[in-house]
Amino acid sequence: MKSLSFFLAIFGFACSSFVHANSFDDGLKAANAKNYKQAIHEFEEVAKEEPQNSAAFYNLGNAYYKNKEFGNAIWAYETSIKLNPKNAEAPVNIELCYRELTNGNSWQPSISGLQRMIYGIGSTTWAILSTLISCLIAYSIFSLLKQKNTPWKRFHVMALFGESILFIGFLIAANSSANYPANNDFGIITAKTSPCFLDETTKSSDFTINEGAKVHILSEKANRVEVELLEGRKVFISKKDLRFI
Amino acid sequence: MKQAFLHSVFLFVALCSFGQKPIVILEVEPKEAEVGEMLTITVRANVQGEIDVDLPSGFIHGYEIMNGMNQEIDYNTGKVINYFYLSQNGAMPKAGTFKFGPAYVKKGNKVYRSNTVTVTIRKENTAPVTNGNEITAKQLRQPAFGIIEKSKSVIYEGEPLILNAKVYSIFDPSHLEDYQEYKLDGALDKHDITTSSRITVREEKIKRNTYYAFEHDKKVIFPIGTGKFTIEPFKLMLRRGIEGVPITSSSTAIEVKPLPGNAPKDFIGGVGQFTVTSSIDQTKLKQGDVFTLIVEVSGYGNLQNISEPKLNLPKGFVVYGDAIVKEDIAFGSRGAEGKITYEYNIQVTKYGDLVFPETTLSFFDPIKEKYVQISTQTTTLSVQKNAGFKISDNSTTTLVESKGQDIFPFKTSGEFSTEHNSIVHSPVFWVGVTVPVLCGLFLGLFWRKREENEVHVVKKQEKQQAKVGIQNVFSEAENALMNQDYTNYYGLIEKGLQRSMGLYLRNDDSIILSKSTILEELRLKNVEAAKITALQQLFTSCEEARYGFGITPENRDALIISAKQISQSILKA
Repeated sequence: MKSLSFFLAIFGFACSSFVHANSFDDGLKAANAKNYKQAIHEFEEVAKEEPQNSAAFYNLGNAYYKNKEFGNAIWAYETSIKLNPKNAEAPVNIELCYRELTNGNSWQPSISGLQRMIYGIGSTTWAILSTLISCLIAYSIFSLLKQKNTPWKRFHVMALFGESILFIGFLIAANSSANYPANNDFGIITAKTSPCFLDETTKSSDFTINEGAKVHILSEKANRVEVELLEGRKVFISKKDLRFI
Repeated sequence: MKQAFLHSVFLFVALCSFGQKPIVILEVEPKEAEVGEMLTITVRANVQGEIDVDLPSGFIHGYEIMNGMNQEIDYNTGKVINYFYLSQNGAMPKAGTFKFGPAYVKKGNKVYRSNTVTVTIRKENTAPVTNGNEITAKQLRQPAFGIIEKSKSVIYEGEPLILNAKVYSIFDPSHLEDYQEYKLDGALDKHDITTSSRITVREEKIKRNTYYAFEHDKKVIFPIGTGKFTIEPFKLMLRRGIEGVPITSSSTAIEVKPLPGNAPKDFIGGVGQFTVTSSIDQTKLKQGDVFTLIVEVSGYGNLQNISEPKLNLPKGFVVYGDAIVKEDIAFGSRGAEGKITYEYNIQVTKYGDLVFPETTLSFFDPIKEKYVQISTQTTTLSVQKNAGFKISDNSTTTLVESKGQDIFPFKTSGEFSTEHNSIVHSPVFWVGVTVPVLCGLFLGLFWRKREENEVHVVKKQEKQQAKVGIQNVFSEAENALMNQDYTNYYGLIEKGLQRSMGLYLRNDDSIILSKSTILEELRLKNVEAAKITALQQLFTSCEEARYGFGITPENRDALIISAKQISQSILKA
């Protein structure tokens, strides 16, 4: 009985992977056939099932672009960049989206160049480096305890100090790289225009922001989201008007 | 007869001149005014006396009262007439038609009367004075007030807006202090265009009243986003010498309209008035040569925010690298004004007489409220065939040509590496990271402990050997006693004791310490006083016996026993 359930679990996992692969391929086929609505549907499916799949989001962005849904396209490209910060093509495509929208916006990276480099290396690499450096620390501690009052003691103390700093740095990098895709710090306006409210309940808006604008998410309320606009203003916008990156 | 007539006429004129009738005139200005608006009442009379005016009930007297005398020439008679006048200002607090006067001039027992004047007072116009900026009636009642002057109330997104603080006062100000500028939320791009740090005061009339006015803190602002924006008021302290009036201006609002949605493909984001020109450094080329195209966009508006124009290159022309952009922009009352030049390096890959196409771009004209397309001239290039020239990389050429026109293509699933589940969140990673560190620590401690144990054992053995050595010294002393070699006997007892103390105090029995040092260090180590005294007595007895002071045989034999006991008891401790 136990082995049967194990077999079924393995089979189910294999089947679901196959279904995702199929959706991805179907999306590519639909895109090649210029059936962009179908491509959007297929890539949305893959993105839902595999929220870490950068290629699926990139292709979803392309499908949205071709379908002239530029706000959604920017969102998909931004998500793709978030999952794969080394992606150099998505920013160019985002710029093209902004050109099509002609509302004066341009691509602003969500993270600094240093962060992009750190996240681009990937949490697994940082984890491996952390493990290696922990072995070096172990060796230094062992040597330090073993060789007392020798000329090497100073060297081992210095080495241990440097290794400890590296170790902490690598751990922070590994953690932040692993947690970065899960943070919903930014959002993209996907509605043509989104009214901005000064508080959570006001019904009349003072001004609007345009499709494709990137906003910094501050907090989520029932139907509205408190956001900070690029110029620093804090406003509330309707949840349905934006998609989280 | 004729002579008699002329005489009568001269006599009549002379009588009229000498017996001139007293004149009292009442004047009120203006004849039509609003509630609260200042009226000036003037009484002029050619007789000097006490002046009194009948004023309507409720008339509020102002502070400006003037009286005096002026002289006027009567051109009929050629005589100079003295006019005495009294002038006073004031206002009516309610609307209606009011009769002012008559005015009376009392001289002695005689009273001279003036005319009356009817004045119509309208209700106060609470609507703002509109010269594009709002001045309320409340502000006009204050000694000084400020407004935020704006070039427009409704602008298009990207259009420059000129703002400045404007101050009006009924007194001539000397300077201002503690200025806090007006604020516009969301004004991402703002530039100061104030030409001078000094204020220039000039007189301005508002509702027939004269004010001293000056402008300050002039800025050109490019609001971001669309909708209604409020400009928060400025504050300052307006001074006339040491006296000051604090001023908080009124706030104002602007509306930023979005640009129409039908933007052309070549829209560069410009809002204002722009022109475009282009030049090519050479028109006679060889196939494969690189020439320089300079596209210059000039004008005013949001010039600093425009995008690079898109080059519409046909096959046969390849752009190398990004354009070199040079900006020559100054900010003024028309926004950003100047020119931006884009310098492109273009390679010609075909030969023959080639037409280099015009560069087109569009901007939004806020006056015409529509997109305007402008373009440069086409240029004909004469390109000679170059047999040695080959297009090295077709794909690169295609990419460069197509870049900016279409997105990068779709990707297969393997083209981007994706971390599906980061190992950082698994316990394996944390175990893998911490175990080596802990292993190193425990191994090191274990190693150290073991080494310490080894050292301890060696030291213990050494100490044991030393004790045996000391025991041997005392045995030699016993032999010396048996052989009646007393001098040697006392010396060996002292030697045994010194070695014992060396072992005890320095862990080394080969170190021979002086007696005084031994006793001193034993005291410092808090050894029992009885033992120290016994040891001291032993040393004294040995010395005395050795130097012939005499000792009983019983005491001599007992010395070795006491020495052994003291040595053992101290070493045990």
